[in-house]
Amino acid sequence: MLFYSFFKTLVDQRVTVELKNDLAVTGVLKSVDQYLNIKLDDITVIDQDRYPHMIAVKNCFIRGSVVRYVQLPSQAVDTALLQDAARREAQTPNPQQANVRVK
Amino acid sequence: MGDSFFGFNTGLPSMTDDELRMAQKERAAREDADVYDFASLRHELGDDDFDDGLGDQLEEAGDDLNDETFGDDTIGKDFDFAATTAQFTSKLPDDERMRHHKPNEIAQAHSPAQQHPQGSWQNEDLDRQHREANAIWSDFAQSQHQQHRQQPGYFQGTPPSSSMMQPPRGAMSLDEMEAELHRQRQQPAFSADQGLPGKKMMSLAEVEAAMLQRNHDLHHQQQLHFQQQQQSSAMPPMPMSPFGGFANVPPNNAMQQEQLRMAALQRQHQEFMEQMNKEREMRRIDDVRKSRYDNLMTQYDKDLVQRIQLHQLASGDPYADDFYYQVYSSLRMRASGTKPAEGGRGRDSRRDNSMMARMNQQVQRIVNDAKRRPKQTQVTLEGALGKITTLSTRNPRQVLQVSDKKPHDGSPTHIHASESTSTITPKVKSLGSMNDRRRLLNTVESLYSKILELEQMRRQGPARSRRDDDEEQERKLEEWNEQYSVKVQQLWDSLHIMEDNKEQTPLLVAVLTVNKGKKLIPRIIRPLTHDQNLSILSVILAHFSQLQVCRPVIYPGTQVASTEDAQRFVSYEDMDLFMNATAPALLSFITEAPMKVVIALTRLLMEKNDIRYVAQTKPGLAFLTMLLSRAEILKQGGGALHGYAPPSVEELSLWQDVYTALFQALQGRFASIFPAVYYLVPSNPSMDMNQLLLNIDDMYIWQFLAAIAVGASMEQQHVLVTEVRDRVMENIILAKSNRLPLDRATHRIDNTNLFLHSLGLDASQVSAPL
Repeated sequence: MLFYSFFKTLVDQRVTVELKNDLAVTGVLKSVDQYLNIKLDDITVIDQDRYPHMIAVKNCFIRGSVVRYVQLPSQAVDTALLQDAARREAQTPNPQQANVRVK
Repeated sequence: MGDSFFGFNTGLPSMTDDELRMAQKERAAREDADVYDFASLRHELGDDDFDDGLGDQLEEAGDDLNDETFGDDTIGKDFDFAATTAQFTSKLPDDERMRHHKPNEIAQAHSPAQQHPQGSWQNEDLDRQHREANAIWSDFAQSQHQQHRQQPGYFQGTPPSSSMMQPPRGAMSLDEMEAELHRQRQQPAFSADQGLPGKKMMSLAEVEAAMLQRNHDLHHQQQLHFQQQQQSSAMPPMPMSPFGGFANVPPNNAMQQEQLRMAALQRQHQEFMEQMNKEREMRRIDDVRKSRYDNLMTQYDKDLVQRIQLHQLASGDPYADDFYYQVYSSLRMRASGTKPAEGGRGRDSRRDNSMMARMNQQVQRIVNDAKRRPKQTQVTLEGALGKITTLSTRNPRQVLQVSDKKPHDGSPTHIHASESTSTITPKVKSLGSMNDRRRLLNTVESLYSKILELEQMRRQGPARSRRDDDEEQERKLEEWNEQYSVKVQQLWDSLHIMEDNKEQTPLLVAVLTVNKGKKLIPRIIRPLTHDQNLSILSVILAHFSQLQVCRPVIYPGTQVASTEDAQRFVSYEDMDLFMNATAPALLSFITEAPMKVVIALTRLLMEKNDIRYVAQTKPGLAFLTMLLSRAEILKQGGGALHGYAPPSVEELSLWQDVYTALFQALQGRFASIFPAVYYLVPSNPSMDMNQLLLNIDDMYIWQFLAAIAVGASMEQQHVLVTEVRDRVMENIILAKSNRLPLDRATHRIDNTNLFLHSLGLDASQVSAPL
């Protein structure tokens, strides 16, 4: 739940989401959920000419699994705290089944 | 009169039958149409009164079996379209009813009005057809209120004066319902028009009917209003234009013009107001329409849905799953401190607070339920082999599972992984050092976990519950304190400071090699005691020359000239990180130290290290500066701030000895403390080395020189000046020569002045050759 927690602190910041289909959208992050689905308000598409069908779109909901990158303002991130949070996540053991075993 | 616009005969007196026939024939003659009209035909034939007996020859028998053929039943109403329409339109919301019935209303209102003024025979004809149509339709009409919906689309509507029709129609349907109900229940007639929900005598149906009527009335009024506005807004534009046209005609009449303009403005204003009202009305209509289906879900339903959604996210310990968010928000709260948005915005904040409280309740409920019935991560179905892991967002299916077995130490596979990732200082590691680095990183991580535990303990505080009395609380607090100090002790032990390793580099020094180690040290200092911190500082100073940051610096934009062992250098970024992260914590320790400590530390630094080497580095100079200035402050009585007595005579003499030793060690080498770059070349061949040199900020050097000059005797000062004179001149000339941007030039002058002021001189006193 680290990334969920992280994105919760970024609500109301302007971010740029780049999707796996190369669409890049800038908007104000309105909400995020446990699957990292993202809701953006007041969006503008980065390459307007390539995506004319997005001209009239003001808000959008992006499924988490199609996101490639999220670009965020660096001053909104507390890197030391993020490192600590990552350390805590790494410490909890996860009893899981996996598809592939790597030795 | 001649023909009217449409060719109707607009004459008033109606014609007799004969005249009618004549007119018809004339028309037929004109149009060349054959008109067969029995009456006129009979008249022609002169046969009006003659009964030709043909009618008697009709066969009128054989009708006996009609009933059997066609049946006795009444004609079904299956194809009674008007009636069916009427049925469901009565249930439609009102505005749609308007749409369906407006033309009819209009037609209806129109026709009675029209019948009388225009009495020409053509209209009579139409009237007749009118009445016939009436008759046809009225056969199918079921009840009285259906008369209003006849003649679908027969007439084209115009002025919407028909709005008058609606209330009666609406009232009639409701009155009907009332009548029925009254008949059914045979109760004394309470008028439905009274104000309703309060009177218990009315049945629920009546109440609802009454409310419905109220809504309808509201609708009617709104629509009435709406249409009136439409009318009036349609009117103003018309008068505007003729007036605008006329304004030019009497130019002499200024008064008239004024009045006209006033009138025009007024009308504009009216228009605007009406526009606003229109919009408001529309919005109200929409609101009422939308809120018809409010309160479909009870609060319990809404809570249930929320609980289902929160079920996935809730957990007992928010710090476990949601660490980043919790700590981040608490840090921000502390930072913003005095201006939170809590009590400020009254309504909004209260609503938010209640929402938050409700959500917290939900979460508590969920957590308690979860605790009572622990959910299994692995489930086995009956009759199936093997276990199934229940996946959730906290426990997602991993694509790869990496096994935890540790590789053997010194296995051949490690040689391939020996290239380091640092691009600035490529380091080729040997087998042993790879392991060392790994071990070091592991140690640093374990230190981090200890620190995180301590910080978490501090954040949460001792376990408290409201049921405890004072004793219980005290006991818990003591318990907490104990646990805390145990952890601190573990942390201290893991640093291995007190152990005596003569040969090896102490752990601290190694930790400071790694960047995350540099960030760790200030966090470690906080929970440790004063003495423990003092030991840490001593260890660092004792092994200062072994520190990674105490090496020649590779400035940004440059690289090492020859392919020497890059372990002999340190990157600028790493050194900067040390200065920004680690040094301040340690230096602040010195700022509060008494004379004894200062003397001891300085001696330690000098004896255990080659001071000339140390003085060539920025961290070294920083520490020396701090020690020197602290000594001076103490000599001048600054120790009183911390409750120290002024230094005794022995202390002063001891200090003097140390100072002299330091000065002598550095004598003749003062020029060397300035950054040397002989070992560097620019990374980008087009860049000039001098340019890069100019970018280096040498403020720390001047600060050191100032610090050492303060305690210097006359000859010592003389020595100082002689040795650094060249540099001073260089700086002043550079600053005055306009080769640098203004702020950088002033910065250079200020730096130099730091030193010169301590000697009692100033840069302006120096006469610089241009």
